[in-house]
Amino acid sequence: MSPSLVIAAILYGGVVGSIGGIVVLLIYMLIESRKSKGGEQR
Amino acid sequence: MLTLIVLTVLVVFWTILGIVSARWVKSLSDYFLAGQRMGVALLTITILAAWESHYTVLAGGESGYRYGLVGPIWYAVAVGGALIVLALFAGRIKQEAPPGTISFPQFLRYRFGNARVGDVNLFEQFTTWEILIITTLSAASSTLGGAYVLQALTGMDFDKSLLVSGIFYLVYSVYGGLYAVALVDVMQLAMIGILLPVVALYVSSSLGGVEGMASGLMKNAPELLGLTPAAVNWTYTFFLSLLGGTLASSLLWQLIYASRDPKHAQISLVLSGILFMPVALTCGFIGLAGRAAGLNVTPSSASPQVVANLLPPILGLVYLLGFVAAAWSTFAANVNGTAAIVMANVISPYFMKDAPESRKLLASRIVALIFGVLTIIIAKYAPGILWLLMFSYALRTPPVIPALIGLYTKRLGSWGAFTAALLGFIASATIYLYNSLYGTIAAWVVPIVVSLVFVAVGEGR
Repeated sequence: MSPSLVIAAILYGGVVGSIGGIVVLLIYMLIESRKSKGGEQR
Repeated sequence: MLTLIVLTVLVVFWTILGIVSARWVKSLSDYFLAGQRMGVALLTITILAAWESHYTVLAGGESGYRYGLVGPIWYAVAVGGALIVLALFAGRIKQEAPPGTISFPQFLRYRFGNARVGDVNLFEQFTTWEILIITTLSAASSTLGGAYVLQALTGMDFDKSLLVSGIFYLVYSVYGGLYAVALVDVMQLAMIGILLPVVALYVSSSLGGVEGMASGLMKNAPELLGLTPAAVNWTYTFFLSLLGGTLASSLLWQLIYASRDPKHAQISLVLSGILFMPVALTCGFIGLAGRAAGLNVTPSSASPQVVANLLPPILGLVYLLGFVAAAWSTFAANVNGTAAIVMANVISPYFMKDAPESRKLLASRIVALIFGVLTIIIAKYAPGILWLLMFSYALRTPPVIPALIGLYTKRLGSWGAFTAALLGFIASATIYLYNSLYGTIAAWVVPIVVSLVFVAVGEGR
């Protein structure tokens, strides 16, 4: 494998994964807070 | 001047957030476990924020600078993998604990409570003090990391940076408990998750992109494009010590108890492991860029050096602020974990048996404060961050091995577990002083062998 391919994988894997991770967590949080509010109403 | 203003605004913001969230803290259990209501998202965020510390930024950068391409990749796999391995045990850990358990030693009291001399439960006392030593060392390393960066950031002398970093953070971690830590962690995670990628992209473009970095590495350190013998050796030691440290993390056991049910804990740990990997890659990339740029620096300072040398001052400032946030976040989680252990195992059962909850809450805040101050003092006299961390990792492993084995077989009894932990602790602490790799191996092998001997004899039945 060429070095620049590995470097690109480290860089873009890290960048996309980090920002994507935050988005996933925020969505998860939103869903969970909605669920728990719904539970209280019942 | 600008640095101090930005820093003050940030600290005041976090402190107010902590104090506001303190209104939600109703009882002792609330204070430490966020009332056992933590769902997947909050749990994952707390785990990630406790794990993503100054150490990730420094050690991740070091892995890239020292070992080249393999460094960041292995760093990411090992740290994420260790969290996923813990997920395998999380269900059992949560299931086997009686309701209301908030600490690792409390679990041991329940499972291995019969090793006693008079009224004193030996195993419980041993692990309580052992974990206290470890957590204090770990918290001290966070304080030290924060102080080093603060020093670089403001130009203040070291003692002043240490004091400022410690005092500001103590205020909110003592006031808000785990809720405050969890809430503020959301902000800090966002900072790390967005900041580091921006820094990495900027560094990459300033070196001529991916192609420019590849040719820089080929010119300055061609051996790091492949697998060096040092890198191979490092992969073994690093994974072993990291796995031990993760499995034995009192903080993670505490968070597993704080989950709604075992499934929540498992999902959170796996998710944390996966989400941690890209962060570790990014930290490693920044160190790798240091090599490509031909910087000649101390490996553990590669990351801040790259930032200082390749980034415009304003972006460097933002990076360093994110770094301080990470160090402080780990520090607060450690201080609260320590206070939980002291309250549950020493103060509540022996000194405040019938005291009202409000007095216990006050006592736990005082304990958190005392340990916060203690970590600042240790940080002042410690030889360095890595020394503190590696020492604490070696001492962490022994008691958790019989505890994990005891989750699966009733044949391991109280005396067997106590003997395994004690002998493992003594062996690893002694050997480690002469050889860190053998000390780390002893921390695994001795407790496993002793536990299995007792299982074979069947003492627990």
